[in-house]
Amino acid sequence: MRTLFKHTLALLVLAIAGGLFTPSLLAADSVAVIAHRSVPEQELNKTKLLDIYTGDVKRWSDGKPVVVIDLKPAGEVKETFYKYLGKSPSRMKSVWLKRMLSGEGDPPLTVESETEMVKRVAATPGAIGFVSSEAVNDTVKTLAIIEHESGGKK
Amino acid sequence: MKLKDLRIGVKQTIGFVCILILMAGANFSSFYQLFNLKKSIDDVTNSWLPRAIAISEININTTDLRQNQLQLIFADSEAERTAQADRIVELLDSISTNLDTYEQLREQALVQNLYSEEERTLYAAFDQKWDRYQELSFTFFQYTREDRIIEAVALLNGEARLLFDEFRHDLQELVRVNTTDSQRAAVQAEDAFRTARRVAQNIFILTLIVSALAVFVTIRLITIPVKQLSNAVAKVAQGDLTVQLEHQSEDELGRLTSSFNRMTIALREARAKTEEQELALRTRNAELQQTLAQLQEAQQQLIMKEKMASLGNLVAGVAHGINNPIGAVNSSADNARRAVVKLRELINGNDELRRLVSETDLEKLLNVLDENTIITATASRRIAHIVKSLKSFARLDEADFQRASIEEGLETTLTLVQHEFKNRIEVVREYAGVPPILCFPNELNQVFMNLLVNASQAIHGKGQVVVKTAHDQKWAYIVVSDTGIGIPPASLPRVFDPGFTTKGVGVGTGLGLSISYNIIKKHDGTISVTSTVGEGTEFTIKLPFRT
Ligand SMILES: Nc1ncnc2c1ncn2[C@@H]1O[C@H](COP(=O)(O)OP(=O)(O)OP(=O)(O)O)[C@@H](O)[C@H]1O
Ligand SMILES: [Mg+2]
Repeated sequence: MRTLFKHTLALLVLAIAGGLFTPSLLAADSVAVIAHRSVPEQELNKTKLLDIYTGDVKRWSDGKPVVVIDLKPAGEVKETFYKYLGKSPSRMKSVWLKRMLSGEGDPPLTVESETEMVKRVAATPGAIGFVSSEAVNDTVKTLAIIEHESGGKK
Repeated sequence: MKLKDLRIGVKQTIGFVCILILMAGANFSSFYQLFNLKKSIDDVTNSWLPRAIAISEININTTDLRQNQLQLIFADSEAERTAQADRIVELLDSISTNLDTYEQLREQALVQNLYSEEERTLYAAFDQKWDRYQELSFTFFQYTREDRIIEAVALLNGEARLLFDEFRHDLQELVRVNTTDSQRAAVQAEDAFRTARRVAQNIFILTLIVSALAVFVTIRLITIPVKQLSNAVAKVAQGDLTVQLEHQSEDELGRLTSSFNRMTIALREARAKTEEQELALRTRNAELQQTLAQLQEAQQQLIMKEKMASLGNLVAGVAHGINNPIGAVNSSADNARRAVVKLRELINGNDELRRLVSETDLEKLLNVLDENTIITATASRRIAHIVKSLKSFARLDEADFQRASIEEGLETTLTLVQHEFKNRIEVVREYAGVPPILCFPNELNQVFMNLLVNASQAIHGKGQVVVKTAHDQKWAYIVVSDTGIGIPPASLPRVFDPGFTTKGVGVGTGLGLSISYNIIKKHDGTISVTSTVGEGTEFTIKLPFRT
């Protein structure tokens, strides 16, 4: 049942993409923004996501604090995500450093892998993170899907 | 159609267009090179230089950052700590801004192909290390916040220090790369400038050459033909109609040249025709003049004939009239002489009568009678001689062409002018005994008469006239010279002209020598004159012996 859903979704995306890509390639290219299931928001636009990651927005719409989680190892997923936000990881770190120094908050928690990311998000109320679409499961909710900018695997 | 046959305007336009194209080429090339130059300069000022500046800023900022981090560790008070933190925030802001600037410039540079692979690698390495450095900084600030000074120092001097050194090196390399690239661009700019200058110089020289060529061609195609044409026109103006110009081109000058050639030909023909007509006119004129001269001569001869005829009649009448009385006077004188002779015989035969004569003046009277009869006889003889001369001068009886003695004619004429000469002029005769020649004696006598009268009129006071004859086998010569006033050289050629006279109106007719000239001509002879003013004049007549 789950695989059937997965395949249906993949086929749907495939249809939208114009039948150019295989499902596996497509899965590797898109990044999912995930959150703890208790998070009231159903979806997030780019501005909102950026505000959350820079620390400008610290609470969800229900007033519960946001817990930002960053993926530590550099890679395609991280690159795609930060490119979408319009800030490189290092630049984002500058922002966080500034916040930290001015006492506005600590830098995000970090995880070492996508699996850990999913586990951590599922386990932490108010948590938000990002993984490749492939790694998403029912333990978390997806707030946005970010397509790889170049639109295909090189 | 060749170039030289084009119209002058077209030629000039071609030259103009050539120069124009060259100038346009020069301008275009200059613009192109300037564009290159500007691009190179723009690249340097807009791309490499700003990038190098941004990186340098980052370099300085990161150094400051590290220093401030160190100072933060040892901040004594909370205020100092805050100040350091603020300073670090500022530095981070500055770094971010510079990185933004750099990345924007990088985007442009990528488009313009001004971003090298080396720079890309270097920057990626830096970015990664900077990322890691900031990650370490989180921990570092964590330590400082918790006053874990030893750990903070260890971190800063440990891994952070290594990273710092590494990315600083990357930054320096980036600055170096940008500087070399900008230097390369500067070299390119200089190249472009050099090329522009060289091209401009070359085109300038080329323009000069083409202009010089245009001037040369103009001179060859226009000025020289015009000069030739004007020279030719000047020659024609001076009357040289043989000038013909070489036909060199088909342009306006060429057509002018052919027009000119046609003109000279036409002029030549016209002149030839005029000359022909003039010649005809002159011939006609000469004929007319000759006719006139003949007429005049005929008239003179008529006048002369008339004169001579009347003079002849007169002389004949006078001679005839005088001859009888002279005969009477002569015989009377003879009778008287004979009577005186008889009377003397009578007286001598009778003593009484002789005594009577000696006692009276009778003897004296007889002597007077004797003398007078002799005088009368002599005078009447002279009269008879003059009459004979008159008759022979007029030659009324012998007006035909005949053999006659020149010297006789001269003598006859001299007798007639004797009364003019009187004691004033001495006549010297130097006759050579020229044999008689075939002639009209009365006409020659007229010539002698004329010469002798002119001589006597030229001598004022006393003087001498020499009458000389000579001859060779063919010619008889008569020379009449005087010691008169002479003829001025200006008048000398005109003395034989009919009507030329220096004597007052009524004295001379100016026909004497003219008539003489015609008479001598009629005898196939010549008459010439030499004269020196103040010394005298000499006329020489040359007459042929006819056989
Ligand atoms: N022996 C001479 N000495 C100086 N002049 C002379 C002599 N013979 C002629 N002439 C000059 O030549 C002129 C022309 O002479 P010509 O006998 O033809 O005419 P004329 O003597 O003037 O006139 P006409 O003979 O009718 O009396 C003279 O007027 C005189 O001036
Ligand atoms: Mg005379």
